[in-house]
Amino acid sequence: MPVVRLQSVDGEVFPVDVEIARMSFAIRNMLDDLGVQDNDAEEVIPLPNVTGPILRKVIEWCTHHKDDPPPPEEDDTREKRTDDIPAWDQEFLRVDQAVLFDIILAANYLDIKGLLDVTCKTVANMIKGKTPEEIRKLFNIKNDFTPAEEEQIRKENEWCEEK
Amino acid sequence: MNSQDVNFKNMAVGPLNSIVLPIKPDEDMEDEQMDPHALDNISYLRTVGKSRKMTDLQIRRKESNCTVGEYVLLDQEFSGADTAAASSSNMSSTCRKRFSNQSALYPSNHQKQLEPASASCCDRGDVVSTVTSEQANFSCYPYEVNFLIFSLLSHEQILSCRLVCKSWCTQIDFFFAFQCVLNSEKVYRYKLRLKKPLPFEVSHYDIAELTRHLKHKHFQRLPEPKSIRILKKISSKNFLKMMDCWRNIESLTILLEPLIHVGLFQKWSYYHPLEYFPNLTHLSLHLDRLHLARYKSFNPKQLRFNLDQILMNPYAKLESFSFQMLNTGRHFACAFLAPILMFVGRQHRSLREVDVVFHTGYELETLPAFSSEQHAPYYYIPLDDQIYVHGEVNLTLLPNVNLTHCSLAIPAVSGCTTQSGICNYFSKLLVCQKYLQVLKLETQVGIELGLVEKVIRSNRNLKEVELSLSLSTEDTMDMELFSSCHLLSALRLKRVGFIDLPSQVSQFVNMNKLPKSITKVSFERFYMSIVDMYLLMVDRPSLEYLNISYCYIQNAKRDETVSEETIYGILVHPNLKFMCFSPIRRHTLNKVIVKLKTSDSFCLLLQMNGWQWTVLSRELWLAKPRRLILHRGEQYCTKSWFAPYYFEKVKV
Repeated sequence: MPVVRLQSVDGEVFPVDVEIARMSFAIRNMLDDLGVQDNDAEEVIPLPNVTGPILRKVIEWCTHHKDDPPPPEEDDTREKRTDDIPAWDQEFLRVDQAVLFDIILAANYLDIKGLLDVTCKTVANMIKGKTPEEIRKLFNIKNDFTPAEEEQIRKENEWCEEK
Repeated sequence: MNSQDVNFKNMAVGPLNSIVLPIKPDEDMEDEQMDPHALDNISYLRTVGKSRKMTDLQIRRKESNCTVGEYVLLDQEFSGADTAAASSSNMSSTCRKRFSNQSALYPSNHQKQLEPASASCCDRGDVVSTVTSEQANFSCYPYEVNFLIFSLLSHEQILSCRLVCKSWCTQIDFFFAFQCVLNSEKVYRYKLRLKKPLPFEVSHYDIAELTRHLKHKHFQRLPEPKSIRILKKISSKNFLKMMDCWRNIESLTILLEPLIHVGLFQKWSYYHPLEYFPNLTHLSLHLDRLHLARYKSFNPKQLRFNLDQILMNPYAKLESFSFQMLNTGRHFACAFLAPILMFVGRQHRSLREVDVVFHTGYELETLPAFSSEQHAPYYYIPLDDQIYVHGEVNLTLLPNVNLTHCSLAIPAVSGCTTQSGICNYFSKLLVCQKYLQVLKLETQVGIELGLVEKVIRSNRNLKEVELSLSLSTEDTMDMELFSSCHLLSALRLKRVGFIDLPSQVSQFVNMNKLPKSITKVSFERFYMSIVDMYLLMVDRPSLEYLNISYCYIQNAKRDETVSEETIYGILVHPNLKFMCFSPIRRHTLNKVIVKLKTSDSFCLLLQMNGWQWTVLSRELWLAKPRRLILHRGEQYCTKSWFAPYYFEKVKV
């Protein structure tokens, strides 16, 4: 099986099967655009936005899902679900919040749709059912609204509520 | 071209199918940070792309036919990793340049992540993040990631997230903000942005649904529709705001009773009327008096005032006017006739279609539930004094009206005859018409034949005629009257009054003079012979609908020039899709049964009394018709001509 070598920002190199690496559309496009053949295995692809531990996690996820069917086309009219995260992924994403955020950034950077979807669903699940104050506490966000601004937002929300 | 020459924020960006984005060649970027101005442009384009619902957006290197350094922004995958593309054959160096440049595209707070940070261990102990939990929040994410996360939340949760911080609020508002359901014939579910008007057109609003979601002050944020329908209660504020925001609507439908407390056109002045809705082409007003009881403290004067306000407003482009009042009773209807007739006269320059229906229905005054004094206001409206006080002065504009469609259902007013009162006023409108294509007149006292003849002979372009006629048993209906209407396709004649004693004389003369183009014919309460039916159906292959109901049909006589077999044979008409006649006799039925057996599309409606039912139902049943309607009862009311077409199942 041909491999490509992915280099993280901290210099760590990960040999990865080409088929697994091509789950990243960013890497796939790059390989296609530049005409890299499977036998050019010695080429090193630097990924300066991904640290070694995060890249290892990403590769682990891709390896586990390498045989998954391609994700279906998005349908805006259909209500999106967040309760359909596979058990393995739930366990895989049971990590520190900062790590989860890094995985999301890496998934977005490398354009791995399946990983991005499942991580975003995890974050969405963290938000669901929480008040604004609880959300702020969860994500360590400072409330930068003045009382008047907050009241205005509340009023705006009132007329947008589906009764 | 230098990237600094381009500022996309100041450009009116059209559809992003192909934008050439100049970027310096890779070899120049080896040790050089990308120009922040260019980066700003790229970020802006990414944002614009998302706001325009571009699901895929990518900056790719142009194919080999373009010069080095030019990149094309395509409707493809929106991937931050691809915002720069390699052009060198040296893969490693290209990749290095590419991704190092790409990192500059992220916001500054994202850059901080890449700096060494205090490590925090995850639960599993084998992964170290570059940021601490305290540093991690949504502001680190690219916009598209935030959008993806927010789009997974429900409407209520998104609203809740707007309250978290300014950054979240701004992003939510920018991307999709609020989903608002605007109900209409078709349900529109779309994303409503707070700060800017919607970027697309909406053809129709149902105000009742709209006001469930929006306060009047937000109407201006919605695109102006072409049609508005107000069928439920609306406050005066909402109504006035609506008029201010959507002055250019083309169609307005109002149910009057929910608006009895609303001063519709409060700014209206009798002497200086404001021209609300200058582009209105269709105005439709509805009122059901039975429903007025739902509204407490009903003031009939307010209702009349509202109607006057609507009708006194000049509509420069009004082409079609519809007024429908149900359960009027005899007394109540009179109050609304004068303003309607005068309105029709005033709008004579543009008005071409008039549809006025007064359905007498329940006499509320006689219903026990409405007979008490507390309900008196619901049925008491003083008789219209404008006609009676000012005589016919206010109706002088009626002869100036040129209509193509005229549909009038006139109430049966006490003391009203064909020669006087209400009918007389409407006759002023009718006799001067010359361009009518559709004429429908219905009164409980019938239209005088002389008036009908005058109107028919003046309008040669009639396509559809529906009349209730005042004819005695001895009067005849000469079908030669319609011979000059070569475009006539539908004719319905209903004789008002009772069928007295059986007559041996058919009331129809010259049935064969009916235009050959006719497709629908309905005669009700006439005396006619089977020979008339023959003459009606022969040589008219386009005839599809035939309704001969409550007519006394005489048998063929021995001395007829056409044989009896031929006459009854015509009943197996080749293209007839619906037939209704009663009473029916055995020899006519036998022929129709043949038709029933052979045609899938033919539908028969029979109205039968007791003995006919007993004798004929078995034969019909044995014929195993595919489509058959047997009506056994005292009366069958066909409100609509075409309703029988909708019967699909066999009912026996």
